[in-house]
Amino acid sequence: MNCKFNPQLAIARFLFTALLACTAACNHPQNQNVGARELTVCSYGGSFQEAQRKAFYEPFEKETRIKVHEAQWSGEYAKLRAMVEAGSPAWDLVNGAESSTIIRGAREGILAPIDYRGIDRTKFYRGALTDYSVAFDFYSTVLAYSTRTYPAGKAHPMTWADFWNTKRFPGGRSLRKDPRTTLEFALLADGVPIDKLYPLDVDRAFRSLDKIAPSVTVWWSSGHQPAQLLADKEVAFASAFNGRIWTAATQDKMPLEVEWNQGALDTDSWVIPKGARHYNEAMEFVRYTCRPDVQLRLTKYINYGPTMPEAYASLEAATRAILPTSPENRPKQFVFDAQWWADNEAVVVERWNKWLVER
Amino acid sequence: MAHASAYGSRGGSLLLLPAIGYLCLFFFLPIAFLLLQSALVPQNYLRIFREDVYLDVMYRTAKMSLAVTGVCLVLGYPFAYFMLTAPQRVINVVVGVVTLPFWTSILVRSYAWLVLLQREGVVNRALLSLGIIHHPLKLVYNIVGVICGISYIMLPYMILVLYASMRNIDFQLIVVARSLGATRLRAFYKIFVPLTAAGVMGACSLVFILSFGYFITPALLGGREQTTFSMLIDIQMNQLLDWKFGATLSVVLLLVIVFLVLVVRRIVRVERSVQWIQ
Repeated sequence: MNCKFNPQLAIARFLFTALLACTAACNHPQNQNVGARELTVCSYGGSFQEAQRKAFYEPFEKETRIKVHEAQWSGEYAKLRAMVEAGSPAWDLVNGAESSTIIRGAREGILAPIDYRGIDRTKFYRGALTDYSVAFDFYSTVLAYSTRTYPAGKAHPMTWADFWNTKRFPGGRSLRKDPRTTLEFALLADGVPIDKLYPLDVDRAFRSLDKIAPSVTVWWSSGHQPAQLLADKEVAFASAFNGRIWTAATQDKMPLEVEWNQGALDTDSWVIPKGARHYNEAMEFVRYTCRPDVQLRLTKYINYGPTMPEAYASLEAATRAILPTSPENRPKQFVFDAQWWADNEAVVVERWNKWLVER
Repeated sequence: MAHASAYGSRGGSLLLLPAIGYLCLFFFLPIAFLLLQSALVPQNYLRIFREDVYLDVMYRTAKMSLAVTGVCLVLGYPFAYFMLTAPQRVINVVVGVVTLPFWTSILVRSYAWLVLLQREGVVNRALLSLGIIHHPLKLVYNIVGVICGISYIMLPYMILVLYASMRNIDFQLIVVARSLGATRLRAFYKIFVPLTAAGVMGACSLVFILSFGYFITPALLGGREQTTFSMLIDIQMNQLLDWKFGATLSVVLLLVIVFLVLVVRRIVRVERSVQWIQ
């Protein structure tokens, strides 16, 4: 009787062993990584992440032998917060583009403080560093258009009021599916002076958005979309991150151009989620990008300006001229008010989503 | 026989354990958790009725799913019928063609539609160069794009379910009808079509229910008006971090779908018994 094959017992044994194996594997994840140093960096994908890969990740891997894994998001604050609250963030370092995210993140306790040992804080532009973030570039959200329909010499939209003026400039529009900067553009279009934008008049902004909404063919959510939509002639004008348009124009030879006037200037920063498993590696990476010679490398691949005066000073004049922070471009734009957004984001985002669906 | 029943009843049911365990862990447990989350703030259920947007989007999603189901039925029924009458060799090829889309990522497939349907896309260019239209048609970022995108993904479900039900039909009945003087067409719609009713209901409800919870394709190919109910859930979960309200919305979606399934099953059952009596 004993030697007779008992399927129930066999299955039960199998299940039990499998269960044991599973729990063993789950309990000791760190055992698998002994020796290999690594970190996971989350950025915005597309040509921006490609530029970061060439300028930062690959040379960093070569120099330190720390493996850089990449991840991607679109700046959804809630996602980051949920991850941290769940206890084990999948990302060790996050590129937070909207600087309001950083203020909120610090306030709501989801970020780890930056270890400033080895970083000379005086070598940065004022405001580039906080206890929880290190800004590594300046970018701008600007009005973009196709040079095929508006070649140099032909009047293209110069302001957001022009963008809103569908009679004078016909064609579809694309705006970001995110109230940040979009509300500012709506107010500028409605005639609010650029130096009196903040605090934002939210009601007025939504009234202004009501006017343009019927002409908005696509609400873009990912940074690569505007260039593609413009090149495909799906829309005539779009709001866009300046670097995405530049890489599309220079590297992919798409006939695109940006208008710096009334652009929204902001910084890209590194933040470390609280509870990140590779804090030390993340800090090592941050320190690496705080070297002027490393930081300026990014401008080779995408036209985002360095946050260290020393890095800016050693750039060639031709490179400086195409950056959002050039003496010519800088005064045309307004600075994104991170503090206002950090204070109002939650409420405005909720209203925005409702508006978007209800019209 | 004794052997088979011994294995079939006990040993065999033990084989179900891994699947049941999996379902418990990754399906029933999360759903229980969802119910619990939504029950924590019961007034959220009232919120769905207080603000127009939720019922409005529910209605719009239902309308979209209905359109998709209609398109799939119109395309799928003749296709399944063709498969029924084709030789085995052809069927093998055709089944391969029908299931081919399953092998590609849903994201890639949705983007492919974008390439086809956009302003300067393949379809518009072809129509323009043929002189059929003079201005590009708006085929994407609206309801047209969404229906194309989802119907195409749902079509295999429709065809395979219809085909399976059609295969069970006794063709002798049609032969008899013909021999009794019915024309080909008459035999088809008097005998064949009613016999497939249950299959049609089954296939349609499957497609409708799957479309009802759809997310990625309407998000990519639709515009503002094509916001689906699952997108509202995503906004609550991912952007506003109101997981409790997101859970409430999920439970409501689940209840609506369960209700629809029950209704459909009832109709099918009635249908069957009516057939039986006749």
